[in-house]
Amino acid sequence: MSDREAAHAGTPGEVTDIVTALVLSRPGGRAWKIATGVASLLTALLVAAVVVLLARGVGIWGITMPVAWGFAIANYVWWIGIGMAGTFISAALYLTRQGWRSALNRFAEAMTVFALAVSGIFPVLHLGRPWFAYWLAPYPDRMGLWPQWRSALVWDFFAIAAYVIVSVIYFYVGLVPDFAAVRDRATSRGRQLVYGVLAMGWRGEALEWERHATLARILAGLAVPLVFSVHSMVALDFSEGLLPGWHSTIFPPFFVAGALFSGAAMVILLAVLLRRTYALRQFITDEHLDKLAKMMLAVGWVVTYGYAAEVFTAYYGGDPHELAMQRNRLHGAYAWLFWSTIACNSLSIQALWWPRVRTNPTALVVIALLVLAGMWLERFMLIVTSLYRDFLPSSWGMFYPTFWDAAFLAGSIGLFALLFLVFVRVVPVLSIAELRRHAAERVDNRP
Amino acid sequence: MSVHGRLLQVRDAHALAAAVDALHALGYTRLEAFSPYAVEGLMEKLGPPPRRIPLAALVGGCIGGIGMLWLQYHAAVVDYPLNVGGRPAASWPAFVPSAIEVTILLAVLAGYVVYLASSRLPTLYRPEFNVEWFGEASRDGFLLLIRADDPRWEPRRAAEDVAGLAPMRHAEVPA
Repeated sequence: MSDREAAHAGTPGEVTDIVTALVLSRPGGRAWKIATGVASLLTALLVAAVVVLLARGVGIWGITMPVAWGFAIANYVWWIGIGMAGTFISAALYLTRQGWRSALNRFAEAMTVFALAVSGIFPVLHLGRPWFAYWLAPYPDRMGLWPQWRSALVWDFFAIAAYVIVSVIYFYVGLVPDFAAVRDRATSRGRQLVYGVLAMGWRGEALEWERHATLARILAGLAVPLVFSVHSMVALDFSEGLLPGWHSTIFPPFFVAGALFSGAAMVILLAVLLRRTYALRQFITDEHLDKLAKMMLAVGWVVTYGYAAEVFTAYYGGDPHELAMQRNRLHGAYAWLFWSTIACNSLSIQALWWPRVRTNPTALVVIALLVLAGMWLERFMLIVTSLYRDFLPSSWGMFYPTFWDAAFLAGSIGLFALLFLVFVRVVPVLSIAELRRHAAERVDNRP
Repeated sequence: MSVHGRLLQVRDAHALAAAVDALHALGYTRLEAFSPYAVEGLMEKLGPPPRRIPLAALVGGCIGGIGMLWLQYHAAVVDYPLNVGGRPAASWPAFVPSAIEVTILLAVLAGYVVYLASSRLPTLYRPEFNVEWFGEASRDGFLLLIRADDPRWEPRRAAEDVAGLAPMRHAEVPA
């Protein structure tokens, strides 16, 4: 099978029937019910945590001086990073005509939208007075005030806002023909109505397809620079500060690579779970897992290069504060964080050099979970190791997470899982329109 | 009862393109072809390529980028200049990040709005939906519609012309 050919079976009709049946007729199964139950409980915990936070303030978290950023910012950077892989698979692999992405792009885009939704909670709540979050937006107000344009927080506001809106549009544009397919197969009046409205009256007319393809190309072309700029902006939140360990030009590319790395891990995790639970092996093949694993390995090396470059720059530059920070990172109170990060993000992925590991779902799930954990630890390590030893010994201090820190982290995972589980049952998880076209090409080319 | 046109179904994408050619040869001009995926080469037979979407994205992007630079300049230099240690008020490098994001945002929004408008989406009622087998177009059916506003339209003649193409089935579409 060539690289450019999609790997799946069936005729256009079969593809449509199998994928729409997931939404319309196939039962969710026991695994879905148990997972949804657990995710709902965790989401309830998140809601409770938000209520407590609004009532009592950010003091319920372990943050204090000098470590004024803690789990919340780590969670934010982690989740927004996970979102990147969806856009990358959808847009960058579309522009480079990688046909195999058609089996992945739908749920990867959904993952992006949900990861962004979860991620956006944290910077807003971290403001302290989240009900004033709209002050970040420029609007003519009676106080005559404007946002501080030179602040990375304001850049972040624009970056996240643009990314959320563009991701939702991108996701929905691709969904419209598939909603039409579900609408046309639906038998109950309620579903016909809901999917009919969602399909907006799509008919599959030749000019409609052409405009759709034109828009898809433009969106892909705009989404690629957007996603790179968003993660660079997240990095600038750090590197605009003058702290040793943050004030570095490698941060933007390092964060882009880290984002793609954790996102690839999440896509692998979701791909393996989806294909196992709903028997989608003929669409999400071993070849897809192999390619995703290669992508994770390659970008993992870029992340590892980032770690090495940070250490090298500190020792080569000879700045005493950089050196002290680096020594603390490697041998200080939080050294366990640094070395766990290296173990998860740099060492565990080396197993992916073996082709048998790249197509073994169990091994991939283990490595993907290690990478996801490692990337969270990395975000937390970057924050805490630069903050806990300030320039003056009088402002040194440790960070101790509270119950609510843990509740927000667990709750955000629960909310993401809940959104994804609902998505699996109400939206076609694979791009029917694209898989249909690939199926037709295969049938056409049959000898 | 008013009539929207006559719908026919053919076997595959090649037959669809051939049917379009045959009806064009008979003098029909207002045809719409429905297929489960974009059939290559079909669009050129049926209408002009969509040039307005890329143009809208370009215009939207320019408005977003220039507008955002102007907004920041206006706010930081004209409306509320803030002297922080004598640093320049028009610190344009710091205005670039937000301007990039808004450029992309408005390009996408403009492209999307023009896409919706040019495809007349959302339009929840389409006369074609009255035909029971229209749903085939979102599975593996290839359908062709002769619209009643075609200059050559005459119900009986259209039915005969369509039957002459030997389609799998055909039906009149009520408006």
